[in-house]
Amino acid sequence: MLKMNNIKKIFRTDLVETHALRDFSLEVSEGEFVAVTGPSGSGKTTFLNITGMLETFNSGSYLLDGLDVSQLNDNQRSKLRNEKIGFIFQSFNLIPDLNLFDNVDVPLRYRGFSAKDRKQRIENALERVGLSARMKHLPSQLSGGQQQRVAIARALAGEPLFLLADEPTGNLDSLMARQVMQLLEEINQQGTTIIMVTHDAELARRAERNIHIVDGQVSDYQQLQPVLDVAEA
Amino acid sequence: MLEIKPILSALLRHKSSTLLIILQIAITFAVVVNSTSIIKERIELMSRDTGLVNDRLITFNVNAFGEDYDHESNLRADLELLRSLPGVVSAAPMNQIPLSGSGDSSGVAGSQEAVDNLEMTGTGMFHGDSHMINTLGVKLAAGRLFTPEEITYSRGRADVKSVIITQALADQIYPEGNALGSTLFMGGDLKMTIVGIVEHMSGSWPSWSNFNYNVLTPFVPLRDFQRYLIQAEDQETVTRLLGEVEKLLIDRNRQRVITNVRSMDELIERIYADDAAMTTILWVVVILLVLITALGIVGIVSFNVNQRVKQIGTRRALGATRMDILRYFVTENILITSLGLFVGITLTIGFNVFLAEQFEMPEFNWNLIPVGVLIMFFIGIVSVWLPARRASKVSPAIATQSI
Amino acid sequence: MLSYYLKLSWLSIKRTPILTSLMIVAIGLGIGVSMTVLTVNYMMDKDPIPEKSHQLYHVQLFSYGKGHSNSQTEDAFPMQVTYPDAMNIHRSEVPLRKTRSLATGFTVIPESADSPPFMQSARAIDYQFFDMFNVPFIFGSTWNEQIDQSPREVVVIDKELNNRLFNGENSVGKAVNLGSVRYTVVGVIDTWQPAPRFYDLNNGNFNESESIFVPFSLLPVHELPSWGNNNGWKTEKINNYQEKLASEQMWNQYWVELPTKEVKEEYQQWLEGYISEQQKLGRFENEKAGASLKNVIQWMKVNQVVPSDNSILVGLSFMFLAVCMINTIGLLLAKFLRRAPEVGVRRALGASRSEIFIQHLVDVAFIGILGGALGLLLGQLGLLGVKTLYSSYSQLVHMDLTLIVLAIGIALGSSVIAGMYPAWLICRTNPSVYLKIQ
Repeated sequence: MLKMNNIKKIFRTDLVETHALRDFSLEVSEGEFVAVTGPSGSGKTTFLNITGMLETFNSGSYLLDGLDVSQLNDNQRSKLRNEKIGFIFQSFNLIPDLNLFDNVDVPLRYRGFSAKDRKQRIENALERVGLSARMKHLPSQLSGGQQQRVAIARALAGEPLFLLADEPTGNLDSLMARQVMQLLEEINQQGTTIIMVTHDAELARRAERNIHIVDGQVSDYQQLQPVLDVAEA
Repeated sequence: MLEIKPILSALLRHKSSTLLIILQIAITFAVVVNSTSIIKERIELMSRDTGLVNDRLITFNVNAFGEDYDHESNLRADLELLRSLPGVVSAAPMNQIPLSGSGDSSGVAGSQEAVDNLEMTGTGMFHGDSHMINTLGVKLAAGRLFTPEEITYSRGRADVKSVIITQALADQIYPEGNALGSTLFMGGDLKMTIVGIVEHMSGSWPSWSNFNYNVLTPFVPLRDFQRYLIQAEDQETVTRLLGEVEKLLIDRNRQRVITNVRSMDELIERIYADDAAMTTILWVVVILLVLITALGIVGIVSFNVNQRVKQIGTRRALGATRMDILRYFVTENILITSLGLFVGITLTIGFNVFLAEQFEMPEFNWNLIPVGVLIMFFIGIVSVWLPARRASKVSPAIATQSI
Repeated sequence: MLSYYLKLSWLSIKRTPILTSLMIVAIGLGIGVSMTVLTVNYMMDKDPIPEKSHQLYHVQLFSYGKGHSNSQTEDAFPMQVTYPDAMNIHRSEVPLRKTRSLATGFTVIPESADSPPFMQSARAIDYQFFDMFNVPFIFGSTWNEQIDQSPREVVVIDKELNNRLFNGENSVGKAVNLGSVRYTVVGVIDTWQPAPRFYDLNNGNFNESESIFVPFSLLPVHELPSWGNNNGWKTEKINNYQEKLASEQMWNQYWVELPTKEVKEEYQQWLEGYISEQQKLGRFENEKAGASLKNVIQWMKVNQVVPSDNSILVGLSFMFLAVCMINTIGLLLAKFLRRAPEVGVRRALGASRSEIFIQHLVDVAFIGILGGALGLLLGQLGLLGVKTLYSSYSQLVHMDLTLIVLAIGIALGSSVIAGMYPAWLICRTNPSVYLKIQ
């Protein structure tokens, strides 16, 4: 489903050259729940941006659902992102002026679904995260956990190939974090692939597979080893 | 002024918004200076000395009808009536009134040779009786006024022997200063002796280059249409006469219609109405433009302040005083304004050259440029003040906040 | 998608009311000022008789003597013709219609002794004048063709005068006392006020039309005075009206209707033939002697119907608009950059650059239309101001549909142009920057 091979990403300024990812390879198959961990500056964010096609890379290959991403232009990447990926952010990134309904509507608008179809999907998605009663509320009227659930609904509404979550519980207290995590696990059990970037080892442990990035490379394909947690302290 | 270097580099990083303000200031400057130049020129035009006693003159037209109307006896009776009115200093029949925008003009010359070579000077031709010059309030510079005996009253042409001309015309056709007593040639075999020279007197058309070249003759044409000019003692008399002159004249003889009863001040207002209107429009444009530019600067500086709140807080935390922050933004503005003015001055000169070529504009007032520069700096500083003060109030504590 | 963008635009306007109002005011002022100036200009320059402006020709004859010319016009032709020339060229059968014309005036003496006599400007013309210039009649019609040869005291009056003298009733056949001479009314015309008053641009481009029309053939009979310009180049002894009629003074006007190019060609030749005939009689001695036919549009140009002040104002008003637009670009940059995080989210959720670009252009266009609407209002205010400043333009100063559409068009066009750069900038921003902790 997702296949990265020897991805290389270099940031250049006048003075320094930073190798954010070097020969990064990863394969994710359908239905997996993958956690990507790593210390600050390890390349997690770059991995996320490249996976989400928000950034391009210098070399290597990235096949998404059989399509070679490096061959696509911005428009095609946007379309692919819209159809295949559901983003979930640490700070939720709901659009403050739009009510919940309209927030979930955003990716569907770009998808070009009919009004009826969109309404159906939005209601279903909000139902799934347990917020269908508050459709007309603005994000500011919700708690952080509720906001993140709306964001998950927004990510799910277009039935993407996988969810790409960036520290989904990072801005939440532990109770809300647990609820959001449970929701993600439920969604995964219902068949949606999830790739989650986090620095929280506790959280990562709940995923079925862990990828640890250090210095822009995957350090270990094996199951989580407790010793690595120390790096994050 | 140690801050100029960091400000410059900050400006370079915000190229587009800096460029926009520079452009805006430049165009505003060009428009303001050129408009002010036109305004100044028009005001000068409108406030030119007329040579007349403007505020004490009244004019009106008498339109007679009917086959049996005796022009000469009616004219004499009218004048007698007008001169007998309380508060009237003097009254005269005239064929045209200065600054009225209508009248007669004719070519004259100082020699037969000039006539033969068709090198004649266009002049305004004022016909009237011996009271004409005193009524106008024009001052005699040399020679004499017309005597009552000299005046010809005629339905056709007059065989006029003597004329009085304005100093400006005398200087034009007799540059050596020997106009008095010399001959004025009017083409054909028409020749007259210049018996007097009057100082300054406006003609009928202010836009005409020969506005100040005027000839006065001792001739009263007798026609159905007759203009009169009255000089009153004071403003009150002017107001009173404006109200009652029509009735007085109709009561004396009903076989006519009195039209265009106007004071000289009103004539002047009418003839310069377009210039006055242009001046007003340009003022409005200048004020609105300055306002828009000021608002624009406020808007963009506010945005910059918002963008740099964190940076400002950090500076404050590192020991910058409020004054330092204020000074930073004001200096930045002065720098931008200077750049804008540099472009603006170039633009102004270019614009002016263009205008001068297209519309035969009078020469540009170069001293308006420094005035404009001061005005623009003033506007710049006033409009940067508010957002800059807000910036100076940013708390240093912001530096430690994560949001 | 357009309705979605409009909805987003409305939401963003609600979120940034001050910034948005500033932009609307800036665009509004720019449009208001330039529309005020453009309206006056457009109305002045407007074809006053579009159906015929290219068939109606004003005749100019270069009848000056050697060494004389008109310094006021580019081609040095005099503006008017002499009475003898007006009489002579009237013999030509080439034009479809033709009229001599003179600005004159009368003392109108009402029947009732209570109403005092009053002055009224008038025009002496030939019977085809009304047909030529499409003057609408309410009652009656023009006079009989024969009257132009053998004069009789007939008159056509306008609605206003008819109201004043006859309470608006059909006055055809009734008499009007003009300067103690009785004229019989043959027709009453409806309000007719071409602006500019193209048929006589010598006597005030935007003056009121006359209320009284009498046969030109009455000139020698009643010695109708000239209320317009009388230009002479020759020293002539003119003691009475008969001598004025015979003189080289130029004080009459002449209009012809030439329906096709061929007829115009033929008439031009006819006039040249006339001039060489006159040259044998010792007239038209100038080396430039000739005839010039100018249609309504050309004639308006020669007479500089649009004063040069207006051209200066048009230039200034467009610079004003430019400043307003530059201002708007600055404010848009601020507004859009403030919205960059949201754009980041939208990009992450699959919006393409072009979708973001269009969304922001729609936003700008929406503001532009609001600014245009404000500009129209301000323009009306400006025109009200112009009306008080220039009393003679009052009839000109109104916006027609074309101008309203133009105003909205300029507002929309210029704001979209102004919005291009900010919208381009915002759609190019890297979304990932805004997705992390803010």
